[in-house]
Amino acid sequence: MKRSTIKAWFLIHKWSSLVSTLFLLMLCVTGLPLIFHDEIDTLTGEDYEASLAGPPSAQGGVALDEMLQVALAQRPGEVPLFMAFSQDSPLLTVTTGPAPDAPGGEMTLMFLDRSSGEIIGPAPTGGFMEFVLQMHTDLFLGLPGMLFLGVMGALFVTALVSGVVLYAPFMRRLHFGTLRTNRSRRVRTLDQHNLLGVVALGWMLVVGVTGIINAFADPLVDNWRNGELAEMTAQYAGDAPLDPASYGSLDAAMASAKAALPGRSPQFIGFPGGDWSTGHHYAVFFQGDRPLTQHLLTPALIDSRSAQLTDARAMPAINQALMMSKPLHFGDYGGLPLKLIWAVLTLATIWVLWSGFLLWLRRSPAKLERRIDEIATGAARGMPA
Amino acid sequence: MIVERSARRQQRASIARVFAIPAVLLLASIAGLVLGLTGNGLPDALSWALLSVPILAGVFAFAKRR
Repeated sequence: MKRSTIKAWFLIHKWSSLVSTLFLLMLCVTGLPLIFHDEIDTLTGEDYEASLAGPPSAQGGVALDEMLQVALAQRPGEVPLFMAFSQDSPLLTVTTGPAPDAPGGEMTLMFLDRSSGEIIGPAPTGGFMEFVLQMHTDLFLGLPGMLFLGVMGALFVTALVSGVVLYAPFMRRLHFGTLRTNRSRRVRTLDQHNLLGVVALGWMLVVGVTGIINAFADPLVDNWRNGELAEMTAQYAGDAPLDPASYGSLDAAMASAKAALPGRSPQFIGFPGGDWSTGHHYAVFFQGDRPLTQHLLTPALIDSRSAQLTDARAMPAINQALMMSKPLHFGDYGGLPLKLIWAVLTLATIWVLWSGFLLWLRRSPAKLERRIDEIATGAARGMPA
Repeated sequence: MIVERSARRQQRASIARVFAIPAVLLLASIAGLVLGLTGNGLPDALSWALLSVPILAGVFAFAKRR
């Protein structure tokens, strides 16, 4: 590799890393507890699923219309926004708000038991884990924060790619896994940075890319609603949004939806006027019926007044990519061993970020050419390092 | 100096050799990540095994460092 090529990639690696390192470290540190949020919820007694006995709320139990009345009785004057089902327990959640298009901050989430038909109470809010999740998702800045972290993710992937390019000249005289201990502290740090970087590369790439996709979740849902959903429900385009007082039966709607997409399990219902539906439909989102497609949701659009099916169609490829990105980013799809692997690789990533920062902080003064020598020779003896 | 240079040049491995092990680790990681999505039970166990490969490579390198 020519010196000028190494220099160009080095500068890309240096700047993409320097700009994003602080935020990536924050994402790693907040990501660690988030990996284990289920276990932490159980420990702190916030795992309601474990204490409820009965069939999963996605399968059956008390009528949905009845459940909705129970929830709405807690929030007089509000309208329903979402109803979500559990695949494992009778836990059913209902989200309400002052208006069909209420923003997230004005929504109230309630837990109900679909086997007994009773309310459990409002979902706990404001805990440590919620703080961590908010920080990790958007730095408490809403959509701009999400997009900003998406850009940091793109810089992370840039740093990974440029790091792999620089790995080539550095390692040409060294065996894989070389960790020299008889050299300067800098060479030791450099070897560790290279080894852990290349070892965790696959995982870092996948978590980085899926993190970027997740950062664009809101615009992607908007895009689906304004594009394909509008097309599916074109016949309603000119009508005024439905008044919540004239919403029809949820159970009838669910029956129509299940007839349209048989053999699948419902995950949630988007009520009219929200981000996940039109002004006139219950959007019933079903999971795929196989493990691989379980994360891919397909909506059935049911006229809220007549309970008749309008259309059911798979979401566009980019939205499907978003849905597959969630498990691949969260690491919550393969039991506790996978979570432990996620944690180990997060720790490795933290060390790659930190050692990279140290290499920059303790660089030999001024001369950029010295760093190029270092990479070009694999920090060979006799070379300035 | 010239002799030392040519000797050093001879030791240089090809790009393919440099990236042989990293490529295996990359493929094992990605295969493990995707396989875990395909089901519970055996696919999950395979996913854990494949994702352990890069971790063990790192542990091994630290264990035998000199």
